[in-house]
Amino acid sequence: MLEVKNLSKSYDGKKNACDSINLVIEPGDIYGFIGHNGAGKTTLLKSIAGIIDFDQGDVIIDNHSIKTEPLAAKKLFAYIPDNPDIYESLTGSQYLDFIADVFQVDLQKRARLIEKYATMFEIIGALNNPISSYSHGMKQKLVLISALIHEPKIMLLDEPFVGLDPKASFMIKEVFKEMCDQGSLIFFSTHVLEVAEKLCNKVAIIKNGKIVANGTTESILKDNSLESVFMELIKES
Amino acid sequence: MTYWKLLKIFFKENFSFNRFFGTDIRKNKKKAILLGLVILYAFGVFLFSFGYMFFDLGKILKEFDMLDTLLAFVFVYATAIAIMITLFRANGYLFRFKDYEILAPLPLKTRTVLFAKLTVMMAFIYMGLFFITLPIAFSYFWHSGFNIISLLLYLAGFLLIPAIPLIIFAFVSLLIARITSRFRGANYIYTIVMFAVLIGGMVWSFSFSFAGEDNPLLSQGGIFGVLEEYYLPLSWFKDAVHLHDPLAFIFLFLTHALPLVGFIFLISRLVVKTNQKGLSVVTGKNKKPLKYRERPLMESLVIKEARKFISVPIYTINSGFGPIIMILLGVLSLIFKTKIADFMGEMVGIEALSIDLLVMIIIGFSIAMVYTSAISLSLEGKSFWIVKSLPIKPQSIMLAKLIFNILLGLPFAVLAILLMGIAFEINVFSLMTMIGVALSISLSTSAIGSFINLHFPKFEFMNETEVVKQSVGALIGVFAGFGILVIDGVIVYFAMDQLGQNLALLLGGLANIAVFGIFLSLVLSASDRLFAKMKA
Repeated sequence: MLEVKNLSKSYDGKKNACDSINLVIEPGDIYGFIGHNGAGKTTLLKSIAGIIDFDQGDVIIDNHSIKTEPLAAKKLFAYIPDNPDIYESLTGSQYLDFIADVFQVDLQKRARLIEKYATMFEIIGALNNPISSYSHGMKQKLVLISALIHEPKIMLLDEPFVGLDPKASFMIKEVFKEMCDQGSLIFFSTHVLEVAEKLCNKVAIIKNGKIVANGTTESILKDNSLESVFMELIKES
Repeated sequence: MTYWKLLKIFFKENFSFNRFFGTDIRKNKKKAILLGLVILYAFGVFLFSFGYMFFDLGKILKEFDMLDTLLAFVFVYATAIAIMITLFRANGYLFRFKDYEILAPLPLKTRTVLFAKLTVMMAFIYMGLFFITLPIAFSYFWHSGFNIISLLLYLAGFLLIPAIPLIIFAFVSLLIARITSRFRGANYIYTIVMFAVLIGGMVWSFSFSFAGEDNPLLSQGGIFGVLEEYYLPLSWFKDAVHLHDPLAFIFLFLTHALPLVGFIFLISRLVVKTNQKGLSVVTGKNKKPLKYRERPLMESLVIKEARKFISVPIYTINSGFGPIIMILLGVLSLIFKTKIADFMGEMVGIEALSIDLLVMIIIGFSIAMVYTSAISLSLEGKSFWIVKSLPIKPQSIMLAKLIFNILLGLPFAVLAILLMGIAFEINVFSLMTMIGVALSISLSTSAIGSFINLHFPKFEFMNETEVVKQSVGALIGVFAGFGILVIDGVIVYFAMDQLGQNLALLLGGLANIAVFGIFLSLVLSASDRLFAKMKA
C-alpha cells in the first residue's frame, strides 16, 4: 500500500507546489493523477519516489517511510519520469543489466523478463545498440522495461504514454492490468483524460498543489465525462 | 541585430555564474565565500608560480636585449591554446551544436548563427589566452616600459593570433570526427587520435628544448627559432608590438582577419550538413545475441562509471591524460633511459633532484590529473533521477565514483614506477616506498575530488565539456590535487635531512592518508543530507 500523508513541498519557501496532500492507494488500484501544467503532479511523484525532499508530511510504502527507510521503500517500487533521460553511454542491454543488478534480479529471471518485454515493445533488436542512438519512444520503452524487470509492487509513472506508439500504449495498459490483478498498484499522472477514464479505477485531480477531488472513477464521474468534471473543477476552485 | 540577440542568449547560456558554479551561489553565502577563496587561491598559485618564472625570464632577456622573446612566448602559447580549445570544442560549437534542433526551424540565416557560435568559442579561447598570457605580458611591459602604442598593438595581435590555428584545427577536428565516425566504436578511435595529436605535439615541443638552462622557460626557446623560420606571423607580431612596425601589423591583420571572414562564409553549408547528420537515429537491428551478466552492486556501479568514462572523448582525454603519460614514460624509460631522465628533469624544472624524487613528482602530478571523482557526480546530469530513485545508498554511489578514480590512476602509477624502477635501477625499498606514496596520493586526491563534487555539483549542462573543463569541480579538483603534492613536497624537503629520502616520503604518504581519512568521512557523512537537497 502507498500512503501519502499530509505532504507539502515548496521550492521557494513561499508557494507550496504540493499542499497538504493525502492519498491512499491500495494494491490492485490503477490510480490516475490529473492536473493542469504546473499543478504539482511531477513534484508529488518525485517526492513519493524519494527524488526530491519534501518539507512536511510523509510517504509510507508498505510500512516503510521514504524519509526514514528510503532503501527499503525504494526496493518496492519503480519510478518512470516524464522525460526518459538515461545513460547514453550504455547500450540498452547494459542499462537493463545495471538495473537488474541493483534489484538483485537473478540471471535467468532477468533474461526471461528482458526478452519478454523487449519483444513485446519491439526493441529487442536494438538492445545491443548504444542508447544515444535511440529515439525518444525507444528510450521510453527501455525505461518501462527497466521498471518491469524487477517486478515491482508499486509503479510510479509520470506521463507514461507520452512518446509511445499506439501499439506500445496498448501493451503497457495490458501489462498494468495484469500487474494489478496480481496485487501491484499503479499510480500515474496523465493529461490524457480518456486514458484515465477508461483505465483507472480511481482518480485524483490536483489544482495548484491541492487535491480537489479524489476517489473511485465512478464516484468522481457520476454520469459525466472526466473531461467535463475536470473542466468544472478547474473553474470552481 | 539578430546576431547580437543570439550572442546575448549564447553568452547567458555559456558564461553565467549559475552555469559555472552549477547552482545559484547567491543563495548560499558561505559557499560563495569558500568558492571565492578557493578560486583566488588557484589563480594566485598559478599567477605567482608562472608569473615569477616569466618575471625572472624578462629580467634575463632584458640584459641581452632580447625582450621581444617574451612576445614569442605569448604568440606560441596563444597558438597552442587556440589549437587545444579548437580541437576539443569545434565539433560541439560549430559542427554539432546541441541546440541545432531549436535554431534550425527559426527564420535565421545559418551564417548569423554560425558567427554567433564562433564568437562564443573565440570568447573561450580569449579567456584562456588572457589567463595564460597575463603574467608574460606583465613581465614584458614591466621590463620594456609601458607604452600605449605597444599595448594597443599587443591587444590587437592578441585578438588576431588565434584566427589561423582556429581555422586549421576546426577542420582537423571535423576531419578526425568524420573519419572516425565511419568505424564502429567511433568515440574510442576519436579519443585515441586526439591523444596521439596531443602527445605528438608535446613530444615535438620538447624535442627542440635545450637541457641544462637555469630558468626552465629558457629551454622552451628552441621552438621559437623553428617557428619564426616557417611561420611568419610570429615575427610580424613581435615586430608590430616591439618595434611598432606598421607593415608587420598590416600583414598580421590581413593574414588573420580576412581568412576568418572567409572561413565563416566557407563553412556555412558544411555546418548545416554536419548538424543534420548528427541528428540521425540508428533504427537498424543489431543481431548480436544478448548477453547478461550478474554483478554485485558496487562492481556494477564502478563499471557504469568506466563506461561513461570511455564513451565521452572529452572526459577520457582530460582525465585520462595522467595515466597515458605514466605509461608512456614508463615504457619509454626502458628504451631511452637518459633522454627520459632529461625530459623529466625539464618538466619538473628543479635541479639536483634524485631520480627517485623526480619519478615521484612526475607520478604524483600524473595521478593528480586524474580527477574523475571531482566531476563524475555532475556528469550524472539529467540522468541523476535514476540513482536517486533506485534503492542505492548515496554513500555507495560516491564510493563507486571514488573507487573508479583510484582504479584509473593507481594501477598505471604502480606499473610506471616499476618500469622506471627497472630503467633507472632504483632499489627495491625505494620502489616500495614510492608505490606506497603513489597509493596515498591517489587515495587523498580521489577523496578530495569526491568531497568537492558532492558540495559543488553541476547537473545542468549542454555538453560534457562544460563539466569536464569549465566547472568549479574540475578547477578545484585539479588544483586541490596539486595542493596535496605541494604539501608533500614541503614535508619531504624539511624531513629529508633528518629522516632520509624514503622515510621522508613515507611521512608525506602518511599525511596523505590522514587527508584521505578526513575527506572520506566527510563525504560519507554528508552524502545522505546533500543528495536529498540536490535537484533531479
